[in-house]
Amino acid sequence: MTAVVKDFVIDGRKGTYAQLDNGLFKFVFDDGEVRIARKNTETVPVKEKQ
Amino acid sequence: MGSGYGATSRLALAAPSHRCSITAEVYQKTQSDYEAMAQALATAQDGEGAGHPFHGNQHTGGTGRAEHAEQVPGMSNASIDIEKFWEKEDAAHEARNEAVREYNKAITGKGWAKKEDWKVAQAEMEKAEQAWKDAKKEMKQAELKWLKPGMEHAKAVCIEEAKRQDFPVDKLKFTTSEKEFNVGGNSFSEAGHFDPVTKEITCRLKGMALSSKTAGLETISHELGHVAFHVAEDTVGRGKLWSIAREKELAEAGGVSDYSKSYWSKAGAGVHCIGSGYNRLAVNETIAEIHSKAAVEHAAAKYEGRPEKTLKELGVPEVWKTQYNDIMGISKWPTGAHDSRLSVTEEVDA
Repeated sequence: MTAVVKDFVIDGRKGTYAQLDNGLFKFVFDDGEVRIARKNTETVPVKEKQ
Repeated sequence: MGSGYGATSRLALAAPSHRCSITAEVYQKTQSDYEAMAQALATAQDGEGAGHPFHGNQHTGGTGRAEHAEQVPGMSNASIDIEKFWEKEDAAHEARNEAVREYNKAITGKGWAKKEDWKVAQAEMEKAEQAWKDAKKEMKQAELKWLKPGMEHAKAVCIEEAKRQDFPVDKLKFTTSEKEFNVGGNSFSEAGHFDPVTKEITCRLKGMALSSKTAGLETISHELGHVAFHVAEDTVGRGKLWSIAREKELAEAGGVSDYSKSYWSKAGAGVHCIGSGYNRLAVNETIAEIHSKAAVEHAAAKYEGRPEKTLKELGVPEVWKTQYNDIMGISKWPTGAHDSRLSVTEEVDA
C-alpha cells in the first residue's frame, strides 16, 4: 500500500512527513532539515482541568 | 572490541586530508576506531546467527518489540532478557494510560460520583506516571547494553558507506542519546537527522539499532542521496537540474518505492503541478530512494559474492536512471577537500 504524505508543524515550523518502506517515518521541514524517526507506542494525553 | 562505545566526543572520525585541524595522535585514535568498527561490521556479517546483514528485518520501524527481538539475532546481547524489561515497561505504560483516562473522565465528571473524586484520580495518575518513568528508565538502561552490538553494527555500516561514497566522515555524527518529538498526538524517536546548512548527518544509533539491521545503511545512503541532490543543485542552480519536459516524464514515471510514490501523489498527480515545489521535493525524495536502493544492492551483492543488479533490474524506470545519472555526475561533496564524484551508478551498471 502506498504511503501517505501528511503535513506537520513542530514548534511553528512546517513540513511534510511519510512512512518509509522500512517502517521508519521521515519528516522533511520546509527549510530542508530532515528527521528520520521511529513511532512510539501511544501515550494518552492528560486533559487540563477546567 | 576494545574501542569502547558511545561517547560522542570520540566520533570526529576524519580522514587525514580533511580540512579539520586534527593532530596525528587524534587521527591515529580515530583511525583505530574506524578499524575497530570495520571489524565489528565483519563480525556482525560473519557471526553465528547474524543472518544476512543487508536483507530482511524490514518493517520493524514501528513498535513491535517482541517481533524485533526475534528478527534481529546477532544484533543484540543475548545474555540480557530484554523482553522482561519491555513487558514491564509496556505494563507500566498501559497502567499509566488507564490512570490518565480515568483522570480525564473524573475532571469532566463522567463516571465519577463525587466532584472531589478527581483528586483521587489525580493521585492515582501521578503514582502510575512515576511507576512508568521508573520502568522506562530501567528499560532504557537495559536496552543500551542489549543493543550495543546492534549499535556498533549500525555505526560501522554508516562509516563504511560514507567512506565508499567519499563523504567526509567528520560530517557524520554518532550518538547513543535519544531525542523524542511529538506530531499529531503521536510520539516519535529520532534515528537520523540531516542538517541542510552544515550538511551533517547525525546517526542516533539506538534508534537505528532498534529499527532493523538495514536501517543504518538505508538511512545513511538515503540521506547521502539528498546531499548529492543539494550539492548538484548548488552547482547548477535551483530548478536547473532538469527541464520541464523531463519533469513531465518523471512525474508520469512516479516514484520508485511506496515512500517516493507518496510524494508524487502529494504533488497532485505530477503532471498537473509541473514546476511546483512539491515536484522538486518528489524528485529529491525519489533520487534519495534510488541512491538507497543502489547502496543496499551494492552491499548485498558484495556480501553474497555476486554481480550487482542494474538499476533497471532493481525496477528503476529508464527516465529516472538517466536523471539519477545526471545528478550524480554533477554532484560534488561540499568540503572542497573531497572532489571525487559519486560513482555508485557506474558501479551498479558496470
